[in-house]
Amino acid sequence: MSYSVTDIKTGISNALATIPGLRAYAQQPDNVNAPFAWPMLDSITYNGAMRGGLITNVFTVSVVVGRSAERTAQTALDGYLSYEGATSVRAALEADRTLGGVVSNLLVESAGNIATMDGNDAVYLMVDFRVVVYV
Amino acid sequence: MAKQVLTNVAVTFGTANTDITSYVQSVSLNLTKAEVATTSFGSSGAVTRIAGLADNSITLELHQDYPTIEKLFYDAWNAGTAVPMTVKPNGTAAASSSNPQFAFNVLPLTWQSINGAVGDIATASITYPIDGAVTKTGSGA
Repeated sequence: MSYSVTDIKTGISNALATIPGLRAYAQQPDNVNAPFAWPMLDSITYNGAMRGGLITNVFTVSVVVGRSAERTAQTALDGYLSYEGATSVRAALEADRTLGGVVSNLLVESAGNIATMDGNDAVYLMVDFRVVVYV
Repeated sequence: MAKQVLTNVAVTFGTANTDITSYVQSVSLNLTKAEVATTSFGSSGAVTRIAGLADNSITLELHQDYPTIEKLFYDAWNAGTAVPMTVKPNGTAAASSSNPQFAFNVLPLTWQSINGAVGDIATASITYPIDGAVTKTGSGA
């Protein structure tokens, strides 16, 4: 299967964009305009099968939810972390586990690293999702 | 030929010689001959032996893919007759001393249609007995 990392990032971004109200990017954006999300490649493992038959890409999808002091941000975080639902990040990413035919399979393994991030003189709430993509 | 790592062991399976290489996680071609004792009173107090019949097998760890791999192997298992296989350690290039071809028939007695834990990549693990001889070809092989 011919693919590029950019194709996967675009596919992830497109899937994230199906979540109502969430701004999705294929690359980390310059500006903080919450809520927004983007994928970052952590690692690639080649040679999972002969002749490049399985390449495992691990991404961190970061979601910056909103100002941490706002109750709405904390409520939104609950929705993003849910297993199912309109704003579930897992459900959105796994709705099409081939990302439009770009990859063989995709799995949202876990969510964690719930933390705060400084930006624009404010403190934002964010969370990371570990996404394993098989090509 | 230098020492090497395996990244492109070319494997075909079935009467249509289907190339399953990109689904193969690992492969072992096991060549064995029976040990036949020939010890007698005239063996000077030591065990003697000769090689008997060859009884070979091949072990594959496969990544599952239902329209292709599962159908191919299930159908072979269901038919219950020997099917041809080939294995070449360095891709599909012509057989040679550095890329010998091993050709043989296997009897697909087992198959794993489903194997894996939640969140794992689906795999199938099989060991097939080889029916008949293994033919090794390649100039100088």
